[in-house]
Amino acid sequence: MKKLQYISTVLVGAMMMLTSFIAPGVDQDTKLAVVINPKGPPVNISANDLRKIFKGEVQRWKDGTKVVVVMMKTNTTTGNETASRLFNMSGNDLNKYWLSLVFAGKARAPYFISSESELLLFVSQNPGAIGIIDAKDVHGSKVATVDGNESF
Amino acid sequence: MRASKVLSLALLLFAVQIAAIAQDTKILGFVDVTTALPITSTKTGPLSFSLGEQDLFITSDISDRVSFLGETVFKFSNSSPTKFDISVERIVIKYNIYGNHNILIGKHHTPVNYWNETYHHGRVFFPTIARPTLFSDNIIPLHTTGISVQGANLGNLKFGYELMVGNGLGSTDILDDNPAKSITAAVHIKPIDGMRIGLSYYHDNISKNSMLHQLDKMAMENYEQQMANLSFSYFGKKFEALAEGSLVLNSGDSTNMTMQTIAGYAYAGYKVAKKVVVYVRYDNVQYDNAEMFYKPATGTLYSKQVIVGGARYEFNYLANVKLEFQNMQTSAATTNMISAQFAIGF
Repeated sequence: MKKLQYISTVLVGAMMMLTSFIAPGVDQDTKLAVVINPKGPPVNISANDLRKIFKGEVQRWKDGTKVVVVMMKTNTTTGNETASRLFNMSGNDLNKYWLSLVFAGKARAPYFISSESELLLFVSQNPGAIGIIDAKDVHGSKVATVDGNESF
Repeated sequence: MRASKVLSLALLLFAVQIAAIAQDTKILGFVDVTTALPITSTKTGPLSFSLGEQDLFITSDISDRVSFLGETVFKFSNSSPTKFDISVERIVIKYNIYGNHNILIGKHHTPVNYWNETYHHGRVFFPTIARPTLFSDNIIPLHTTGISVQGANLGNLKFGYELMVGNGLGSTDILDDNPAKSITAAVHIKPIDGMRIGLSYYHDNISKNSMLHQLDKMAMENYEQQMANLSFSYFGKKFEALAEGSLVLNSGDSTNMTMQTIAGYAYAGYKVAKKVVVYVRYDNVQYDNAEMFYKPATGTLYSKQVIVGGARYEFNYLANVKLEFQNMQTSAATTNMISAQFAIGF
């Protein structure tokens, strides 16, 4: 009996470890949208500029407002999808990229957020904020087009 | 009694966290544990375990344009009564002038090359276990206390620049030992994703009897130091490459000689599996035969060649293990070393 308990404990532990290393899969059907605060970000952005903004390469919007980058955590489906589609990186590589950038003092870390509703609230309340979200969760928030498209 | 202490501690931590959120302050850290087995022609071992530096890294947004970055390292020191020293590695207050242009004041990593700016104390970022000899022999100025103007990601080539004026090597964190200031001018471009090409120039005048903070000795004459540095880095999905070189000219006034030191390294890594990178690194440091500036207060200065080969297993971006073989040759001895390191960020 004790042996069985031991084996099951080891198995459960191993499964927990395994699942902790598995990132959410990339879903090609998911459409992403860019949500923006009314102050700062433009309503039309090119895909190239969007990449620069989310890589921490732009500190100020044209009107002088500070750029505030908001992303879903990379362990969420949307976060993982953003890393893959925008940066051609895994979520892990994106986290490494940002940690390295912040450590070198080159950029301010993005706000990584756990839920889409929190992200929408954050973007709406912070001037200069720009975030990426699942297009079906926009719920009337202000959206910027990317290369003329409302989702990508 | 014990429960109340735990409760008090929990409340204190909660209060600190609340304060941190209000100021938008983040605390990160890095630490590592390394084990090494030295092998020479006459002796093997002993196998040693060593604690690395415990690095606490703080960032804080103070206002719309002002931000702060601080880095404090706790490390072993045999000369300390507690056997540990606390070292303030960076205190940088940044003011955003406009766009991507900033003024920075405080104690910085001197922006002479890629490694010094990007990795420095964060062992979890290091592609190899230890720093290249260019750093471990203190050939380049690692820190500068002073002021700089910096710009980044300008134009299609993502041009960056930095001009820094500081206390230089003959100084402490609070006082310059001589009237001359060090000057660092650096430029770089990032022509494609993951690639950076940089060039920098460093100049300093060091007065006789100044304490050289990095070399832990006194300057025996007046020196003029000039340094040109070149760096190339590429970190792609599969392939990694990093090569940096420095040419240093140290001119002493009493000997009226200019001594030339050339130092550099080249690193290449290849991702053989999702989490495994195999790598090699070659370091070469050639001192002038008459070099006095870098000569240690006691002992002899040797030119060096180091070859490193190893593998890195990355659990995730916050943890990795490296296993490495190193061969170091000087004119006096050949030393081999097998080492392993567990490095984390937290």
